[in-house]
Amino acid sequence: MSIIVNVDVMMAKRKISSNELAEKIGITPANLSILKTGKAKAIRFSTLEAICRALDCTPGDVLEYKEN
Amino acid sequence: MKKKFNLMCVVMLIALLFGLAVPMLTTFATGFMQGWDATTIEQTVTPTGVVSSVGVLPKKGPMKWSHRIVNTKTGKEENVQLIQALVNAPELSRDDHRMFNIVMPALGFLSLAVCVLFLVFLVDIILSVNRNRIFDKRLEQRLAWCGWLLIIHYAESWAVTILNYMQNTALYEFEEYIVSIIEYPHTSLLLAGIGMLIIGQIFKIARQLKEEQELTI
Repeated sequence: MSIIVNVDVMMAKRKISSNELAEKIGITPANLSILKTGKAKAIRFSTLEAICRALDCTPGDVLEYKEN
Repeated sequence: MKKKFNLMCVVMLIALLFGLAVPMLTTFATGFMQGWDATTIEQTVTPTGVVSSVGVLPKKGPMKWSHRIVNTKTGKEENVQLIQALVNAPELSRDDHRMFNIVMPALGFLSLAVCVLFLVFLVDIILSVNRNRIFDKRLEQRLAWCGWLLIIHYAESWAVTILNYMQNTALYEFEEYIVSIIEYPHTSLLLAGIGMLIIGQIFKIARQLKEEQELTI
């Protein structure tokens, strides 16, 4: 996949655990894990908004494009 | 929720078995009656050599009403045109055409194997749906198998028809008739096979969409 999700980098910067972030965003830890490992096929804007609000960042901080 | 589906499947299986059993039972009953008659009624001609069912067409011109038969309802003789004849040729032997004696039974076994496999896969599909294994690669494979089996059965029907015709043309050449094909295989088998392949593809697309949906966070 060419879009890389850098949620774990932001989580380390904000010192927040997976369970805590999942609870703040309103998704299951399993789904957060799918997001972090790059297995997700798509992300809803509502989920992206919730991540940015919880980690106090912009979408560009958590999403990166790298050509294969 | 699955009651309607199961009911439709049961009706389909009954129709399938009916379609397979009726010709077999009819052939058995006819053979039995003929055998019984052979023991009780004096036969004027005992069939020897080759007995074949041959399709015939008049050689020249329009329909040749060359035979007449009494209609007991009116008491009058009616004109009769042959389109199919059961021919007994006592002097001929099928040993001169051994290829047919090997290939025809082989096609018969192939047909039987295809029918059995199809029924097995069909039952497997029905059981999979009942166990909620709908968006499953196994179901797609079973649907594809069923489709290909129907197509193979259609091809086999054509092979039998053509071989029968070749055998009849090798054995017979009539004065006033040309040997023809009695009945062509129905394209319904081919259409059903292609239909099942299409349905298998639809299930594949549905499974991929479901996976994508599940992996949308």
